[in-house]
Amino acid sequence: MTAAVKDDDSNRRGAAAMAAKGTLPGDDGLWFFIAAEICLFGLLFGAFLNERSGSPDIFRDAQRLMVPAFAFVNTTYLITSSWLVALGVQFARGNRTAAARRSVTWAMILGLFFVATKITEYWYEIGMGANPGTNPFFMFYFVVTGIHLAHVLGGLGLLTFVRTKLKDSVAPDKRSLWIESGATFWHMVDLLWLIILALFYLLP
Amino acid sequence: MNKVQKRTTFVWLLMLVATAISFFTSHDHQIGADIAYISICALSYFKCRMVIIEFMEVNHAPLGWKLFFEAWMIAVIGEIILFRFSI
Repeated sequence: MTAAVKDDDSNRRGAAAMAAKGTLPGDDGLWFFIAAEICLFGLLFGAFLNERSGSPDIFRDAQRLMVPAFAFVNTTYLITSSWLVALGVQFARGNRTAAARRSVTWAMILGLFFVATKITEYWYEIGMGANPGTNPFFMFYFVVTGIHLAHVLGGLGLLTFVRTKLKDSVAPDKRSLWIESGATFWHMVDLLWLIILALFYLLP
Repeated sequence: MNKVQKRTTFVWLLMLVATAISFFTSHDHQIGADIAYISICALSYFKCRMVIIEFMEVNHAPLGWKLFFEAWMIAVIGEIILFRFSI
């Protein structure tokens, strides 16, 4: 019974091997894509800050209409989902395929909760009269969070595919490579959300 | 759970606590706006660093990638602080 839950160290993509080699997890090409994506978001954040510095009162008043509870719940979902995927990577490296698949499944469920909460939030905000044409704050808010939501949906699609690779018939190194790639993208989605959270909900 | 999994779980808990503190700081009107602003920036930097270093495992990456991600975090958090205090 104990053997069934113990990590198997035979996987060449194990954490210790990765650390010794000084390499990145997942597909190398994906990292260049992620680098481009986060730079693009960095520019969007800069444009938002520049616009806000021009009309701080409009941005301050608009931000007061935001409901922090939506953002708090969604942040909890994404951080927890990222943690589950990170655990899934470690399970896969230890050749604990079923545990890795379970972790990814729960991560995806939390991702779906994020999507449902975000749609509810949009519905609430639009009901209150806010839309991308209301003022510059809401223009940035709907554009930036909309692009981020598209990334969440893309990440969920990728994790769905990764889940199909988490089975014993797939070679251990391939399994690890797939889940590492899916996880890296999913963590990027989490990373971008943490900045969006600060900009649109938290910073006074 | 092995040592690596325990470490990942500890990081997750730290991030949840940092998030709760961020929300508290943001909505506590006893704290001055500037202090709240800097605190939220610091907590956001900490959380982003945890995601990059621990979850994305950039701590095992070649030096060029480590420098790229450090530079990105400093640039993003730096622009948030600069826009507030230089204008």
